Amino acid sequence: MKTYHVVVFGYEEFAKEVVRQVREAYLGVEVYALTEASVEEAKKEGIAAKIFDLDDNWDEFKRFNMQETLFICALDDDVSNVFLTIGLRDGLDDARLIALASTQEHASKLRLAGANKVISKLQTTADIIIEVLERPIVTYVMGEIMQEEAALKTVQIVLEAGSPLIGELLYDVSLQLQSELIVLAVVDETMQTHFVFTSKGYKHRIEVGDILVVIGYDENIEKLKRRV
Amino acid sequence: MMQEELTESERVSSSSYKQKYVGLLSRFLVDTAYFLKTSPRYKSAKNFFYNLLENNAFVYKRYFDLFMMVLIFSSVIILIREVRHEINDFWAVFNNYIISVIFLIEYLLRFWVISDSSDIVIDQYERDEHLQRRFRTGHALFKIFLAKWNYVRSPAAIIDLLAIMPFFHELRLLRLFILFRVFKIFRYTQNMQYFGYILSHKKFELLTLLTFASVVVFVASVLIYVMESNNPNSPINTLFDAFYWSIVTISTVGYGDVTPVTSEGRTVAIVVIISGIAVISFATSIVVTAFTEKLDDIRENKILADVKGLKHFYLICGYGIVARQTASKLRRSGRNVVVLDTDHQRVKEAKENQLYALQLDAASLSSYQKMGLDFEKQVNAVILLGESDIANVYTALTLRSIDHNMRILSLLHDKRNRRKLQLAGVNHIVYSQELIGLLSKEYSGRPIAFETMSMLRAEESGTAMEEIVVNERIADNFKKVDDMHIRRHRLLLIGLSKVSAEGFLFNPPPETPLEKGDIMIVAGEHSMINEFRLFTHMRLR
Repeated sequence: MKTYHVVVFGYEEFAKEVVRQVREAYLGVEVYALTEASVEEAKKEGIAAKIFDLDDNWDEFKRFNMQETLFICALDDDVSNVFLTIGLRDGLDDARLIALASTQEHASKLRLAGANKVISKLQTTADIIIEVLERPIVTYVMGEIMQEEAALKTVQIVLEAGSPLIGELLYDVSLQLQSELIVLAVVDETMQTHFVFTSKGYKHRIEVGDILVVIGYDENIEKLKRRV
Repeated sequence: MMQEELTESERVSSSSYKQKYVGLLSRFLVDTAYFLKTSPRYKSAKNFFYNLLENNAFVYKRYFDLFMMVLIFSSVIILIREVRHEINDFWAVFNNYIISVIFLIEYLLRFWVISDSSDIVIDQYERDEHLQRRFRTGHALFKIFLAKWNYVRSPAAIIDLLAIMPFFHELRLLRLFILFRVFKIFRYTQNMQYFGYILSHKKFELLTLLTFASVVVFVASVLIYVMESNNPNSPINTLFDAFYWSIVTISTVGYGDVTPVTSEGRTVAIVVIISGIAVISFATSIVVTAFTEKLDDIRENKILADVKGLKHFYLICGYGIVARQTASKLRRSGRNVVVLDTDHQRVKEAKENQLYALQLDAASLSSYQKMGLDFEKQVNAVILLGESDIANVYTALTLRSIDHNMRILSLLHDKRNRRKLQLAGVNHIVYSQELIGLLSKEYSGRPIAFETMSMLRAEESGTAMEEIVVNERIADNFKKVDDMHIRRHRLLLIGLSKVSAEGFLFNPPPETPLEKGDIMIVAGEHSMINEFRLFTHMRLR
């Protein structure tokens, strides 16, 4: 599920930051803004930008490979954002959609509208504030392992047929690898997450297509990738 | 002539002696004042006793107040018991001497701490020095006397003094002074102080009412005495009877034991009864109005007192949408939260959300003076969630001017102001827009890893990544990581933040030694983490 193209809807306060972050990681970033002024502003920053309105026909986006493209609905106005999300879902069945919501109420509407992932601005901010104050070391660790450029990484590894880990218990795999990596969880084909430390995780037998979520240093991750 | 010269010489000599003694006294006064002012032990003792007696925010004051109230009630119980029973010598000594001595010590301590005499002397001395004139000892002594006198003549101090009276005599009448000890309760209960404070705001109205009632009682007493005393059927024979009848009637109590029998007397009664109704209605309205007007103040004072009593809390400045979310999450995790906002509606909303909320300007020093907080001991951290960066910078500077070490976190609205917040002394800056941008990027690249980490973060998922501090007990019981059998508790040890220079160790090997002050990061289910915490404290070598 490697993403090559990111399409961001909106070019306001939050959308600008989203664009700034994703353009460091992906070359194909396009902005669709509601006003001519926003389009001009984005273009000045060197970003490909076009104007759109909420009633647009989304056939134009069918030119993208949906497995390699991510659509981010980042309009500041929550009501418009919900309308945009439902419009995109209607026009592009298999598109991967991320939507930003101000509150939990809007977040649930966006989920109903078909967003694959909803990021609640308010809840995330409150979570981070509390995490920084209450668990500073956890914040540091999370920050470290979530940064792509850091030496310590969280990665997801798809286990294909022939991998020596197939058929083994998640707990045993975790024990085998514990000197080099931490196996945090496995996600099965039903997209259910089994944490290695939960009773369910202990008993989960690894199958073809499962995705391992591991934390470790680059070299150890590379070794694991070669092994599986 | 000779006689006159001698007298003159004697006068000069007497005057120089006088000057010498005054000079000595002045020097003694000034030296003592400077000695006391520079003595840390004296200052700390005086501060301690001042806080104990006068500072409601002082932790030990509530224990002291409770102790004094126990003494007061014991004293009254002994007095009541004494009316019909013999009490043994111990309780008599306890009541007349021990309690009285404690009250005397309290009275003298209050007399001491109520004003600073050394400050008065030094101030006078330095002012006289500045104006190049001799130190005016008498002036300084008079100011000291005046400061102490103001205390002595205050109603509270008079009650204190009367409460000590049984100590001086064992006369039966003086024992009644023990009842004055009951009035001392005013000193130790804040609600009673509020009551006095509220009524003191209606001093003029109450005085007017008292004057009116006194005039009515006086005129009615005289009139009823004149009308009734010569009538053999009337129970009103003396001026005291007349006065007693007037008081009973104007207060609308009307026992009926003393009643006028003449028509003139009954006419006076009608006037007094009507006046009585007016007095009672007026008095009720004054008290009700006073309480209605001051209801918000009472509530605020109650919250202030509660906040002063909190041991640890987060102070949130500004109750906007982010603050609401943050405060509610902190509350759910069992933390105390105090909210400051100038907007009445927001403060009301915070109170409705079960938070301690005060309508105070977080950017004003006077707000913190009013709150009387000990930031170091009480405040975990200050969270600045004002509507603008301008407001947050200003508040941060105000807070920094109070305490250099407190933890301050601020929300950043415009990234161009990040440096300004840092310069204002903010320790942690949270910029929502950037966070959301980062999360979007993370999700787009590694959605499953991202979701896994999010689940560890989300409180409702049942799983968490938590910090466990290695305290002395844990360090004594577990020498190395392997001793803790973390996997047996179905937890993962993500890393160890070492107190020594090694910093953060990801996935530490089993033989890594544990030291006091290290912080373990473990991931697992909430319940398992809690069980593990218990285990680390239970096992003893």
